Amino acid sequence: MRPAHYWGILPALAGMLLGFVATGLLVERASAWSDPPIAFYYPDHGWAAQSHAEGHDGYGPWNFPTWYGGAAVGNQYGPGQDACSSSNRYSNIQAAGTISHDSTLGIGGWEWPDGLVMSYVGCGVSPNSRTLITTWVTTTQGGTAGFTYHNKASSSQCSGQGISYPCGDWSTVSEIRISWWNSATTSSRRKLLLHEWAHAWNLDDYCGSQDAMTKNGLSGCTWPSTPQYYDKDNWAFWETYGW
Amino acid sequence: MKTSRKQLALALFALGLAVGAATWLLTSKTIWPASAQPGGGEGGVSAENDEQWIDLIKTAEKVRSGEFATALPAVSVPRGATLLKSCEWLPSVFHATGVSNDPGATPGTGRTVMRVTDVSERGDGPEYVLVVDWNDDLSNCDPRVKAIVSGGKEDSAEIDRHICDEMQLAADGKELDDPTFRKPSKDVAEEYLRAFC
Repeated sequence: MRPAHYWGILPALAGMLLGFVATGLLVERASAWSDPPIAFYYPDHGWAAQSHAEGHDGYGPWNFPTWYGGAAVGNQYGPGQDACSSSNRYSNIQAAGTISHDSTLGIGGWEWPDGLVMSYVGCGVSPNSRTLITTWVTTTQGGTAGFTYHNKASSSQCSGQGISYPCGDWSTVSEIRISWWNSATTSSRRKLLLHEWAHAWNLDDYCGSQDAMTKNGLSGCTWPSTPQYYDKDNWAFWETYGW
Repeated sequence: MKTSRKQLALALFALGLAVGAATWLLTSKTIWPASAQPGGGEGGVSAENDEQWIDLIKTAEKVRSGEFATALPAVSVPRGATLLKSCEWLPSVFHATGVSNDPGATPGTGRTVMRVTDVSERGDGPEYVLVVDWNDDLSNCDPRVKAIVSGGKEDSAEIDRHICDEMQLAADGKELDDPTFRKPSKDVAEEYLRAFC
């Protein structure tokens, strides 16, 4: 086991340097393949995505990103409810995390042995938590069944980490509409979680010909039948966070 | 093709490691967990902890005096997307993705950036990037845009209040509630409180 500080410098450098390279690739490939791009890499987001991992456990290898799932306590992010108040929320958030980890379609031969790892940190995360937050709300800010937004670190939050502003995302919040959730099947619930978490990882909606969890679920861009990350999704994860 | 890119990436990575390692050796300052840093999460205070706080306070002073503009990083606009600086031009039926709340260099300032897809006909219509400054007039905006921007501002304000609470603890010579924060010295905490709280 390497000491925590050994890994600290790697994610930042990898994200800043390699992520920039990936930006061009995404656009170029999308154009060459006449297929919509799936991800747009934001250097300042990508840095933080990886810093989420090292910030919590101190040893996330740069080519094997992890991100922690959390659930907001009521009223800390608007009228949100957490996952612990409902067994089907808790079981499905855990199941979606397992699916994320087990989604290995298309990653054969890469350095990643598994899909993306998400580690559930439980309920009661504070507004200042530097993590991915999933919260159940009456109405999402975007008006859709699920909605994800990024909160970049403020100048004070960057200073609190001893780094210069701007310093990337602090938290990412995935909102799930309660009425949709309560009437949805288990499969659909997991698809929505995986879709929103892909946004948290900076993947865009994708409406091309291939199966993808990053399809937006709307007419003309419906989700595949099985909840999992597909080749197209994993390719975008790899282009953004791998190498 | 992939190999040559990977080689380029690896070369850049190696260069970055060398630069990063040199920087690290010179400054002994990086981004690992606060709990692993001297003076980080264990209640200690060091001059190193104060550096970024002092920089922030000085920057804010310059912004307020007009010496600095509060420039946020440029917005990423994907190829094919249209940049909008007023929500009046949004499509009538849209799907919002990629929302980012970006606090400014000083507390109370910032912007919300929204990636929007026109879904009036099907799921993958033209894309737009809408930028709304937190001081903009939202009266002509779609209710969802108002909710998103207001939510971003409120979350940011809550974070600012949280940091003020932590600073008050530091100024009072107490331990911080938030172990992930680098504790400033008493003097710097008092200066922060005067500047921002």
